[in-house]
Amino acid sequence: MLQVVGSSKSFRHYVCREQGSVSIVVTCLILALLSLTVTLAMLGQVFVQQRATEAAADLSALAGAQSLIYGTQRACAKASSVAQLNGTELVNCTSDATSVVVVVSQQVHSERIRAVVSTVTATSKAGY
Amino acid sequence: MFRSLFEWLRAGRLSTTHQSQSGYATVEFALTIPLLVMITAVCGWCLGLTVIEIRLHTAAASAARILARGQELPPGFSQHLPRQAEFEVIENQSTVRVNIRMNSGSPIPAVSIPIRLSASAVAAREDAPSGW
Repeated sequence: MLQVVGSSKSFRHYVCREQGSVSIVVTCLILALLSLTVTLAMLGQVFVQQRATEAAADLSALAGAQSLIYGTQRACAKASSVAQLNGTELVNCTSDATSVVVVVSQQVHSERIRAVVSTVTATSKAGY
Repeated sequence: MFRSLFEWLRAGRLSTTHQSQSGYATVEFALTIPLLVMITAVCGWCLGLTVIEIRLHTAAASAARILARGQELPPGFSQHLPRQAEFEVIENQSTVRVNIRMNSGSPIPAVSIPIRLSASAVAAREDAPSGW
């Protein structure tokens, strides 16, 4: 049997008191909620950039497809120009006689997020 | 042993401690609930901002694509945008750029947090000269 020697009164007082007991739980809850908020904000930024990159990929592929009649090189050059105008970079461009496939990427703006996710990439295909 | 414990409780040593401290947990929790609700509201507000910004990007890309084809924007285009959103169209010989900007309100009316959301999209005009 456990026996508290010497300080049985203070031990009993500590175990039975309610004052301050919620503070610990609430502090943990607040920290968890703040962490969740920060994580959601960072994930949201990545989602927004991913959406913007997808839109840029779509517009680049469409621009490339418009120039397919002038050759595949010209199509990829135009896709690259439109990708740059949309703030992204053309990573890869393949085309055949009827379609263009572009891969564009964009560096994540926030430095904190960049430690986890450095770039967002999107692929799009357009043709006729 | 049980008898001695019963006598000890009856003496009121433990019950006295309980009486003096009871209710503290409830009061503390009640006082901290507004803070928890506020943080949750800020969390929801961040999610809302993300959704709005994604909508702005989608709208900008769609508008740029429509204008690049040489068509007019649908009459209700601005109504589908969030309130306070302003869009501008910059056309040149070979491209169409659509910029959409908006100022977002604060989740707490008393505190003004200026957050500016923006989206931009550039599309190549289909009727552009072949040299571009």
